[in-house]
Amino acid sequence: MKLIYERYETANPNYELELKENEELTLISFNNNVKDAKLTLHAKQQTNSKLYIYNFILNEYNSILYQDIDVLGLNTNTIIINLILSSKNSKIDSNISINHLNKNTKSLLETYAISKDESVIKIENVGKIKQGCHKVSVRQKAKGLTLSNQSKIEAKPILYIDEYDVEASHACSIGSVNKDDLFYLMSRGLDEKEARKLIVQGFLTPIIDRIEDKKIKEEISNIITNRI
Amino acid sequence: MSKLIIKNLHVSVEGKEILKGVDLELNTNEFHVIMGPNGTGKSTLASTIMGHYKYQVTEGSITLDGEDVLAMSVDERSRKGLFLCMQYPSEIAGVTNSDFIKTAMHARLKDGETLPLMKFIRSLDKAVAELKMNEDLPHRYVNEGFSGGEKKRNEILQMKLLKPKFAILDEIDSGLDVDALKIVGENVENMKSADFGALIITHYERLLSYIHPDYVHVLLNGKIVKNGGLELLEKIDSEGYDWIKEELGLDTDEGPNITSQTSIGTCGVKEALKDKE
Repeated sequence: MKLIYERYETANPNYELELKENEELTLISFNNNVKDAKLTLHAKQQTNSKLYIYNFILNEYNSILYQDIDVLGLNTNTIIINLILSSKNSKIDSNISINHLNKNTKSLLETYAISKDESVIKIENVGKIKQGCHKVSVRQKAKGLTLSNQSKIEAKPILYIDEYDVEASHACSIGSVNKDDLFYLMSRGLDEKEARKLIVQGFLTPIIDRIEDKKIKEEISNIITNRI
Repeated sequence: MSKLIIKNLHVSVEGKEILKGVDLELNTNEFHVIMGPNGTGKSTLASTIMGHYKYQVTEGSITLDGEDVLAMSVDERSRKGLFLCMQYPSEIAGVTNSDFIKTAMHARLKDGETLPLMKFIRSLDKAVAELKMNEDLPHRYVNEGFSGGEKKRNEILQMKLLKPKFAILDEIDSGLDVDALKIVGENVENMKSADFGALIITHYERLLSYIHPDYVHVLLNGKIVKNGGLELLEKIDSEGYDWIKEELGLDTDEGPNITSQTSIGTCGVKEALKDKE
């Protein structure tokens, strides 16, 4: 399987990808405080191809994530997992669209967001299923955690479905740290700061754990742990 | 030898008074049982001792070896030696049980003290075995996907490792099957020592086949109305609470009324979860 790991240094990486028949590709993008960054990606997937994308954005500056996947072939799989941590006055936009244009194709799109200070995260997850594309499965999830009263997370989970014989789901939940969870951890002797840190880490760990490449996982995990 | 003293404790939830002057004195090496019908404030008492944000103390005091507990934050209370075995412990996704317990044990180390990893693992493994829990438990996320019984055992596991001076067990027996009840009961009973005492809240006598209490208190309408020993327990088990109400001249019709008042609090949660267990 091909692996692309993009820790972007430049502000505007742009990808035009075409996954040929039976091709498998993992793309891990990591935006660690790049100022006014915009990552654009257009991908096309042919029959039996598998595309796995992990986007990590840790930013105190504005940034945009724009990804558009056209699923052209049959029996494909597409997984996109995003993790966004915003701080200070930053505005971070994430727009991801997966267009199912053929039968028996599968996609999973999950976005996890944590906002600090006065930052704003806007998430738009779009799944489209064209008429006649039987047995398509589309799953979407957005989960947000706001760590301050001034920060904001907006999520729009959107599904355009023009076919009956499909499976689709979308879920969205945004909130601040649960007071009873905090009480539970503190009742075991952790001070509030430590308890909050553990809850945030708990939010992040299952996402980072999905990266299979150990070296990249460790690198990203270390940077993120230092930041929180 | 430690002492936990509760004096004239009045507690309100959202402006409604639940506890109306509770007096209680606990020493280590003692097990106290609090009994009482639904909605009389047993869970309120437990949560208030630990400092839950929902409960406001309007009058009275709680001291641990002379120190003002009410002035302490929740985590300070824990580090000073109080522990609440919760009825509905939180699920903390993404945090493994062993990481959580290790962090909690680190939090109570004094300056210069260390907790060697091997020593921690050995004591965790030992406690897991004593509670007959699954070996994979340390690697699972805190309470996530645990059955009712597993959650209760996990509370006891933490209690064993954190070694509090006083534990408050809030209906630790609910949702436990007979075997689990025996394991939990025996583990608590074995902790009794000059350094450990417990306040046990329960509805059933069954748990007390394994835990042997020294004192029994009856909480009714927000007050402790009766103190005694095992004989009190037996009488309640066979006759219920009506005789106490009559003896004290309490209006028995007040019962349902009070139940609905406290149902805003923990009892509402209990009702909601009943179906799941």
